[in-house]
Amino acid sequence: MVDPERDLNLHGKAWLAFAIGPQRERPSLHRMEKPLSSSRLALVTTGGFVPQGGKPFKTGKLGDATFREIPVDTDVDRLEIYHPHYDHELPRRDINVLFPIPLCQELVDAGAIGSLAATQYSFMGYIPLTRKLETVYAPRLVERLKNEKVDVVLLTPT
Amino acid sequence: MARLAESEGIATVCIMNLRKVAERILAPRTLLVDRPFGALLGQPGDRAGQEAMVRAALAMVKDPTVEPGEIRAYAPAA
Repeated sequence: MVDPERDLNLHGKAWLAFAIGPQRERPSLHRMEKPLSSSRLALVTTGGFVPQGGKPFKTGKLGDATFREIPVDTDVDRLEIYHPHYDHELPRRDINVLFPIPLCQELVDAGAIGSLAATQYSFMGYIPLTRKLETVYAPRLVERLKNEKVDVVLLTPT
Repeated sequence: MARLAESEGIATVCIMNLRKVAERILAPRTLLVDRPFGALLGQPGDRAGQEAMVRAALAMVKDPTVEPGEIRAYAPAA
C-alpha cells in the first residue's frame, strides 16, 4: 500500500494542510453525449512540465499559479520539469506515468479516443495562493480548451 | 479548474492519490489510485497498466451512474 503523504517534504506537507482546506460543496457534472471515439481529449497536469527553453515555473515558497502550453507534437523526452515537491525520476523515465501524451496518442490511433487537442497543459502543483488561479489562470485555460473544442479533460495533479 | 470546465460543457475526470484531499475538494469525477506523487498512472514501462488506468478514468466520463463528486477507487484487473 502506497502512502503518498509519507513521501512529502516540508513544503509538501504545508501544501497538503492548505489543500485540505474547507469542505467544498458538491459539484455539477456535464454529461458528455458523444462517444469517446469521436471526442477531443486534452491533458492537464500539475507536474510542472515546461517545453525546452520555456519559462520555468517559480518553485519558491509562494508557488506559481501560471500554466504552460505543451504542443501535442512536442518531443516529450525534452520537456523540463520544475516542481520541488515530488521525485522527477519516474516521469523522466516514462512520461506516461504522469502526463500520458504518448499513451493517449496511441489510444487515438487505436480509435478509442477521437483526437488529442493541439495543446496540452501543465501547471506546477504547489500553488499555496490560489486567488490568481481561480480568477485568472483557470478561466484562461478553460477558454483555451473551449477554443480548441475540447470535449473531455483528464487531470493528473501531483 | 475542473468545476469551471464542467460549467462550460467540458467533461473532466481527475486521477488523484490522496483520499482526504479528494473528499474535501470534490472534483466532478475522481479516480482514486494507490500510487505515489509523480507517477499516478503506474510504473515506467508498464504500458498495459497505464492504459488500463487511463481507460478506467475516461470510462467515468461516459458512465451514466457516476454521481457528481464521485470518488471511485481504482481496482486494477487481477
